[in-house]
Amino acid sequence: MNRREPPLLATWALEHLAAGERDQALTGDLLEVFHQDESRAWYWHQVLSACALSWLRALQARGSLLVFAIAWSAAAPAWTAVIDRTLHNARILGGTWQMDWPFSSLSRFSIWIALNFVFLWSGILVYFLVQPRTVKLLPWKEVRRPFLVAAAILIPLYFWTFILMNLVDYPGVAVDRASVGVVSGLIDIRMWANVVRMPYFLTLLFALWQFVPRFTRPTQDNVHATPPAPPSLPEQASPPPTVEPADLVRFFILLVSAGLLNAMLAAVILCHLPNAHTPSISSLTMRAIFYVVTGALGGVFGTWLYWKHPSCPFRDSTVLPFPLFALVCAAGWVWVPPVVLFFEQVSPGAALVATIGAFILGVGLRSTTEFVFVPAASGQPWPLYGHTDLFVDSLYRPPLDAHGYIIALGLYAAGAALLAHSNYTAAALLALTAFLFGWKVTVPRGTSQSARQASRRAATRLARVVIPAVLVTAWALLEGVAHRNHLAEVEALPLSPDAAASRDTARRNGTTSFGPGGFESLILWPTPPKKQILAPIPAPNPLLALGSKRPLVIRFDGDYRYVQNPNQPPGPHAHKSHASPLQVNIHSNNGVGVFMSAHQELASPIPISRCREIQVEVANEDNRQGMIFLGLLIKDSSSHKDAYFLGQQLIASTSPINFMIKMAPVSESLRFKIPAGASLNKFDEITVLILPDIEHQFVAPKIAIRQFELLRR
Amino acid sequence: MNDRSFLGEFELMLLLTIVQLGDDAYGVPISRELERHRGRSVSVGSVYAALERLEGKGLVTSTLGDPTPERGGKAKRYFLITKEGMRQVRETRRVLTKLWKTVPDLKSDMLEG
Repeated sequence: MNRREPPLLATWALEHLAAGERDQALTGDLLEVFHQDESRAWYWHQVLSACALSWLRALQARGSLLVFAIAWSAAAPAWTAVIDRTLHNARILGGTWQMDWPFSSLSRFSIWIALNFVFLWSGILVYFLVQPRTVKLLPWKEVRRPFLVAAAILIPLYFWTFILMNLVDYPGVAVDRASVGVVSGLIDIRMWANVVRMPYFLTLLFALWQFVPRFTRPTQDNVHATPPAPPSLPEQASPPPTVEPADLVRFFILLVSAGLLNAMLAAVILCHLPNAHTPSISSLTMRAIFYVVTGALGGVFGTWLYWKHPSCPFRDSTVLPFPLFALVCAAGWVWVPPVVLFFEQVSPGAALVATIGAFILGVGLRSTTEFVFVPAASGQPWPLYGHTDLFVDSLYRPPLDAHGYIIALGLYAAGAALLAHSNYTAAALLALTAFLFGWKVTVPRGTSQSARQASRRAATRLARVVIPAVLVTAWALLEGVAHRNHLAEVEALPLSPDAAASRDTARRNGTTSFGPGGFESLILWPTPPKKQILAPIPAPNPLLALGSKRPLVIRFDGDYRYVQNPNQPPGPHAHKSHASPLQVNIHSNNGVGVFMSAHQELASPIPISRCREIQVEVANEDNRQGMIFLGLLIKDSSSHKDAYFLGQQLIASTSPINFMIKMAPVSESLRFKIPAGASLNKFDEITVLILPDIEHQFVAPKIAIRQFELLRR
Repeated sequence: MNDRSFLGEFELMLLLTIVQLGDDAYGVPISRELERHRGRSVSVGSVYAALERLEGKGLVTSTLGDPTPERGGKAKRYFLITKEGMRQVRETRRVLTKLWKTVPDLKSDMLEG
């Protein structure tokens, strides 16, 4: 015989839609009676009445809360008027702050959110003040919960109300909000005012819903229950023993790395220099605060993603809760934005700030979180001061710890990287070294502190480093703006010969560089020669003249091009300047090589049938060791054919033998034969490729093209 | 407990029913007894709501029994009156009895008139 079953939907409604905490005795009673031949209608009636009664009781228990929420939210229109005026003033202040989009919008939105939170949190505080006895009975976690809930649900409720209002009465209630005053907003009973009150009323109600004296049954109420389990130990010093110590360490590194990576990503995406050339201090400070918060939140979010992963052994740890871990790591992540800003300026400050941040992170992690897994792995108590060998005893034994050697090697390598202008490498090495140093010099607190104490310490540490981090970020912004303004000034100089010379002088004061903070590519034009005062005498092209055997001499007056991708021409933002390659120092600072070439356009095309050889005369003032080759390309710009490569030749003065005796700048002539069967019929462009070896990979060689001689075939 | 807080009609009925049922006082028999004596149906939800209120006042206590298959694996919640509950029942009876004694003869014709 099939047993009748009650409506599933009704049972689900009873278990999920009834207010308050409910045990399953009522559901069982209804099932028992239903199975004694009651109808489905009876079951539905019982379920609906039980749900209605539960909500009625819940509202009765919260009568004072309902009255309070209605009274407090009645002031919402007045507070909205205050917010509008504040935002209007903020707009005026925005002109002073010189905030650019999206920071101007972000700052306005932040002010709007902050003022709304002030309104709601004030309401919650007032509600707590009128119920001091209830507050005293509750733990701190319960007391702070309404503040967090209010902050979390206000914005969704606000926009939900906005959308609903537009759906009901599109395009919404037309109200001149500028005319709403603070006092008139209090007594405004128009629909607009009530709609404004709605999200605040609901937010207060939801936030404080649990905040009522509730009856709770004792937990040991089962007459047939099995003997209660022995109470767990007050805070176990290690996660469950089923987790391997190696896994703990692996996850620990993963969590820190994920946070660091995410903080860097957030900083790279969101942290940029202000557009203003002379930003105010308040603007820089606001921006610095935003960037520091961005770094911290980005890191926390990155860690949280992995922390909540089911395989994470720290997920349910009571001794290392996520807020504690986030607070500890945030003290290091707040330094990521200034590091990124300094990187963009190719400043050694990046290495310095990265060192500071890594040291703070290492110290914080060691002192707060090390005890989570090390005692479990070793089974040994923490060494205390006075329990270890000191001085003379320790001198008789060679040190076995490798960290000292690693730190020393890291420092030396970082110094070498700094000398080689490799800021990325230097910053990474110094950060690793500082982290290791901080980790090793810090004595863990072990299990002597509870999670709450550790959280308090971590919060204090974070509060101490936030202000320095903001100041350093503001410094990085100032440096960046100054650096950019200097480059802009050099760029803005006019291109007259004198001005160009002065610009070149200004450029030579610094060193022209590629990579972050430098130029994406560079075009160098020879300094214009002094204007000819002799009357021009038109000379026929000797190659084309009948019976002539003289070569055609073309003095080089084209441009030198410096790019990092040899397959791409200089971009539209290429820096252009007048100078000779012999006068400037051009190098790469981002680890990508520099490719140099020289281009000469001819006034008229030269037939291949008339030209058998091109001699290139070069001036070599490069005193760096290493061989340099010269390649030659000719091209017909009127056809779609590719350039024809005439081969490459060694600049003899750069060969090891000649380099040893080369003391002064030398001139050389390199000959490139043009085969009669070349794929081109004529050419009107000559490109000289300077092909250095690895010694000149990152520094452009000081080699200039003097002239071309085209010999008759 | 406030001595001046008196039991409501439904609460008094519930307490008396729990006393009557003894160890078998859980939702279903309590509802059945109330229906039998009152002569009209009673919502089990309202019985539980009132019992929870009484439990909050400390007039009854409850314990969970074993889950049974006919109840869909749900346990029964047994209710037991406390000493305070018994005291309040007696106090209410005393007050009601005193009040009834002060009322002159109630005859059906007087009530109808």
